[in-house]
Amino acid sequence: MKRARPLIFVVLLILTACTSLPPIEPLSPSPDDRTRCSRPFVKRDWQFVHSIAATLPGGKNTLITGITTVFPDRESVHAMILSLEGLVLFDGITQGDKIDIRRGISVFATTAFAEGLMRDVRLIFLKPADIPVEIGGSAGGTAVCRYRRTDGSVVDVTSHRNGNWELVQYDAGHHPRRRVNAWIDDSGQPADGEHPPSRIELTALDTFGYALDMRLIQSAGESVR
Amino acid sequence: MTRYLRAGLKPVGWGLFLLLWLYPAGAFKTARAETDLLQQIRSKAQSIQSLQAEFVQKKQMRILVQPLISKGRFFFRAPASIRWEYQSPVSSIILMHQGDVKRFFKKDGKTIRDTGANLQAMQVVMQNIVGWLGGRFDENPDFKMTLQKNRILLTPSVSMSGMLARIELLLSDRQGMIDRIVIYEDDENYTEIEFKTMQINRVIPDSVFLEIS
Repeated sequence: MKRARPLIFVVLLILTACTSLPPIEPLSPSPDDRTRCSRPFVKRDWQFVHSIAATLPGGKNTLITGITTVFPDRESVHAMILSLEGLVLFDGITQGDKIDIRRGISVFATTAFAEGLMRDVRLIFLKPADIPVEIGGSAGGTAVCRYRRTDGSVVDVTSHRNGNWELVQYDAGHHPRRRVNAWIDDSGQPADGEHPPSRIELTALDTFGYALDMRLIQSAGESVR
Repeated sequence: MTRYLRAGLKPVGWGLFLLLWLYPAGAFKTARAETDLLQQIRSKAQSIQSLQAEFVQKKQMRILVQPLISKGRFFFRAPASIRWEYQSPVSSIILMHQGDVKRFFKKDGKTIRDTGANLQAMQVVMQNIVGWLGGRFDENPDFKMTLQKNRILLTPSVSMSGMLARIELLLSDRQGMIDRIVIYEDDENYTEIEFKTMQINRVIPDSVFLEIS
């Protein structure tokens, strides 16, 4: 056991050590690039209804309905989760760093789960920060925008020319924690907040990982409250 | 009028007396009529051995810009087999047969068994629906039942504020059948399920309640 101690120490060190973020091919940021950085995120109040196929820790699967109302000016998101029959399982609001859980039933009643869920919703629908710290890209027209948050976490948003986008959130130690991929629908409309993606997939890369596969059912940019 | 005065009663007093006399009689008559009607509904409902219908579910919430509409098919076979199938906007099936409830959904063409926690709640809902289809509206002690013309009103015995205010079952012109179920969380938030093209007492094989396709 004594001989194993240094080995355990090394393993722990490797597991907890900071890793480096993937490099970004630098580009001189132009106002146009900054516009592309914010393209995936809604710019005015919107409401989305998604069917969500959730793969939960322990391999459980369930299909639920999500109603997400986004208020970008207030940095606020109102999220509700319903059973297919219309029973409200979860109701929560996030504004800035504050999270208010109004209702939680069953697994959604757990504070940790509910808060995690609200953080995921905020990650998907709200722009991470005002200005990216780095902007890069590729000759193929892909733009990569890196945002740094006050808690040390980093979010990379990659926008593709065809409108699809992906987002990776790293913790303060630069380990990837969340990956979000968004696809536009077949109509060829760009995913720019005005034409929301038809499919969004979030993967939590924690020890108790889970995945949410969200298909857009309906969306509205008028009369949102 | 003179007679009333002679008897020491003013006309207003007589009116009140008559009302007091008539009210309980009227109430008893209404209660009797309700019991008779319920008995008729129950007897008709019990003659239904199978039922199949299409349904449209409308979820209306104060927060929703547009109501959320789902469509599907429903099969029932006495005593307690149900297939509740959503066909749009998602594909999902609940099968209840011989006390066993299962749920499946489709994703990218694959059928996945739903193992989410809300399945137990659905089992309770399904059992209630089976009771209603058999005309047993007052079977569940968690609800108080009242009959109002063509609708049955079920209110929770214990307050479930914000979760469930009442359930309305709108009865069909074809006695013993339900045209519409409305589940009210409150007046602004409710789920309405309307049944269409109902067919009764047709043979429905076991496979409908056991197999997904």
